[in-house]
Amino acid sequence: MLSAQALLDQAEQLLRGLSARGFDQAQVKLIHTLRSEVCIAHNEPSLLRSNDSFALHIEGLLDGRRASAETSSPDAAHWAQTIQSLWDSVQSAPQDDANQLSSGQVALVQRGLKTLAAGAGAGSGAGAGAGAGAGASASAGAGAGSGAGRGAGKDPVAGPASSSDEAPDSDHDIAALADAMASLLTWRQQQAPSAMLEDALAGHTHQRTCFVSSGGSQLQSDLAWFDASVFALAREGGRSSSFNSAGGECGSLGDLCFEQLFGTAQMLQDLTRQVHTEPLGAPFVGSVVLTPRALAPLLSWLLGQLADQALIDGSSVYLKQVGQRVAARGLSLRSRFEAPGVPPFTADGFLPTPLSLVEKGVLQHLTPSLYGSRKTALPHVPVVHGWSVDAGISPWQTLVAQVRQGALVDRLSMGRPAPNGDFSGVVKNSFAVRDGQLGPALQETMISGNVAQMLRDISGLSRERIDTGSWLLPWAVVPGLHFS
Amino acid sequence: MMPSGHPLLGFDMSAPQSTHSTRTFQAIETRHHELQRMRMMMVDGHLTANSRSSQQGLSARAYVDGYWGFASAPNPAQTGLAAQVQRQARRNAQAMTRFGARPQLDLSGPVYQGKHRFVGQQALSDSECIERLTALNAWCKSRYPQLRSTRFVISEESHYKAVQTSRGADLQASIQRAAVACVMVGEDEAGAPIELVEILSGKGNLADLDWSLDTLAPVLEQCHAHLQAKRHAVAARGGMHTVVLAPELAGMLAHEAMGHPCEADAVLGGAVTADLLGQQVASELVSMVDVAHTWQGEEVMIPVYADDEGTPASDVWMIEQGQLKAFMHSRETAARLGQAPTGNARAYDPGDEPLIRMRNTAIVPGQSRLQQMIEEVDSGYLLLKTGNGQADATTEFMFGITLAYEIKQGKLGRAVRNTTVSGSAIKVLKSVDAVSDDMHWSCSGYCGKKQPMVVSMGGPALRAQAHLGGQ
Repeated sequence: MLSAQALLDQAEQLLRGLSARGFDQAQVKLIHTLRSEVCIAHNEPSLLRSNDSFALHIEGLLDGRRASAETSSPDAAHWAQTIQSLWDSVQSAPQDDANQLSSGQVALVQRGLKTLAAGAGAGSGAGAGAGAGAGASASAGAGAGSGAGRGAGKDPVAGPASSSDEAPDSDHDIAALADAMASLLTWRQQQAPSAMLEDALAGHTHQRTCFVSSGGSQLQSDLAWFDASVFALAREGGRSSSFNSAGGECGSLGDLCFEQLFGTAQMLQDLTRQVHTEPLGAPFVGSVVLTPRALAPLLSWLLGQLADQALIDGSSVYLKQVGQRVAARGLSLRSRFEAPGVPPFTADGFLPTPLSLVEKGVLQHLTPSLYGSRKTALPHVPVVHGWSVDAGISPWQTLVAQVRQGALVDRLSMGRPAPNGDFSGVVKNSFAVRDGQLGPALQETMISGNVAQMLRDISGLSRERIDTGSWLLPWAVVPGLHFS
Repeated sequence: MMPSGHPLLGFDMSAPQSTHSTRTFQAIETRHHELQRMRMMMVDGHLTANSRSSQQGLSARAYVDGYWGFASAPNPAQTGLAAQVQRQARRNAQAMTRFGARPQLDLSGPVYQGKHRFVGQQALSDSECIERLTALNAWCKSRYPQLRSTRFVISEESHYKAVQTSRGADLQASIQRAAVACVMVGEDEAGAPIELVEILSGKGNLADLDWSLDTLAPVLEQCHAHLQAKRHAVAARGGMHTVVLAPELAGMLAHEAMGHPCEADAVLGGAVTADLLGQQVASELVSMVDVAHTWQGEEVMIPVYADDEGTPASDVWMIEQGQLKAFMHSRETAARLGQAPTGNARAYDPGDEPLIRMRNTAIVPGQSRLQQMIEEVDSGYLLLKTGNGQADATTEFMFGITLAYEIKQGKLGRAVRNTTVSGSAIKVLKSVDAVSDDMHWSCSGYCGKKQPMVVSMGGPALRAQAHLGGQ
């Protein structure tokens, strides 16, 4: 792995090169990533992969014109070509007063790294704070331990092929990945034997990033995290359930078995009850109880409406809604930018500050980037992904018990909602609900409605939440949807 | 075709360096992969995205004792890197034996040697691209002043791969595609935003696409007319309906509805198609093929002459006159199911391992005329444009519909608000009672399956029974 100092030296050298080439402003981001991944295919261990990857992203401004270029080559000779390509590109770009680059951002963030003393058995990775705001605040993160799990592997495994100047990540990360997969396979065999893990993986990523700009920004991060995912269905004889998936990022795979993470066990056990499905019957207007997995796409649509593209082209339905009620009173949406796998800086080189985006249903901010902000005259609110919704007070089963007619929905298979929020989609991996009781799994059932209206209509949130790293979400009940 | 003789690859054919000396190295493949992308977006005359990226890498995948190991690194020009990633791939495969013994499959089969590189027009310069974008934006602004916004996105993507395998495959190949998308954003009669997307795509770079104002003007006029119709759109009636799928949608139906369930890894994973080989799964009017590289004498948009395992690519006729006939394979799935590999194992990015992916999937044209297909419908819908789709192991599919019209007594009626079409692919394809004689190909989107992938899809208009979401 390239050292943080080596990355910084290279980034500063590149920045000098951009300045020497004649750019008025410039910024450089270097990312070095080592990743290992143990994969399962069709209920059997299948593949171990290791990736050594590198990315250089440069951006330059000249006379109000802007261009960016990216290369995966760590070769300095190639970088000179990339700078020349950027120079050629920026000449023809139109002038735009909104163009501006990062300035005054300084921080070092470390998360999820193993301490030297921690060895293979350390605790879960924890975030370390970083300075925030555009005021040149500097802070250093303290790396917390990241567990490597239940025993080291028997076979020594070298790290990924690399031209780096440090030893690769140690074998126990790979052993932890293999242990997680072995645990999942054993659990499946015992607890959900009809489930077919079509594709599952456990991965570990170690990523160092260095961002510098001619405006004095210097952002460095050193992050490590685990991730896992499973894509599965259940099969009995000639019948199959719909597929479903679960997954996320975490600081450690060592403290919990994989199946206990990300709602995986519940998802797999539900699959075994979804092989036999029944049609809905006549169309009706009813309620859905959305699992956290099904709630996430609705919130993603909301986040998209608050971001650059929808704000700049004027299609956002929330353009003038700051301070207004946009969701049910019980819904508060807050950042969790310190979660495993979440980048600590925005793509345009700003430190996000923790924030409540929706507080008790009231929209607090729009989230334009620096460019979007200057384009729309809206306040600049830097954000990355990583969000949570406050828990409710009832168990999710109580939410189901309150539904007279509707469905418990774990996956919405749908086209992108229209700009005004209209959508229709197929409810997958879902059970009918009648008079508060869970019924059979549903087949070929669609719901339609409006996402913006659904967020306003949420009538209950569960006290349980599922943590997938970038999302921490409860179950939610929404009335008034058209079933057909 | 001559072997490629790629200078950066080559093999260290010695036994793997293993602490387990009894193990034997069986097979390894090495890939040099370059991926270049360019993207510009202009919103109302403002260039909001202007980026170029270049990824390159060297990867190796080894098959040892029934397990796979994969390794990749980013600098193909580095001396000795090929041997380094090969060693790492073998070590990774060996490390998997901690899970216990696994039967080794016979992954032999034909290998490909040759070079294929698309040669098109000289690429447009950045300034030429920006001039065209500016002209298009200005034209839209003057012609459609009431629109909230007009957005143009242009993109190019180019893959160059050199693959060598220990079985003797040696190939170099390229795939290039370009797309121009126009997004018009307006308001419906209640003041809520509505939008419509028009996409032009093709093989090669942006100079190979005709996106001059003269060519695009009538397309934009039509897009604007549809958007005006959407201002007064009504909700679809939820439930089963007779639908006429425009040619643009039939390719999506082919890809999502029966394409994914005919990928052999999905078959092994429990897709219901596993038990349907030889059975009637569609109307006799329906035939469906995944084209490798040539269709009716012309090279297709995403030509694959050999896949990333070095297997010569062949057309896969999944459905012939309604009968399920074949699946798409990698070497591994072919060995597991006792069938021949088809050349469908493809990797998207330099750090990805090959997976079974579609190439150019299409429903074959029939003999009906689209206009007549509409006139014969008493009550139903004409579905014209889609945004995205999703498949399922059950063959239940869905895709979003962004432009549709009612059909009443053989005539087009009101526009329909965004909706979703879904159904069991087998039921829907069995209900097909007309297939048009024209065909539309496109290659603008990505197929998602662990990795993204460039694919093309094509088809004629179809008339069938399907489920629409609505009130």
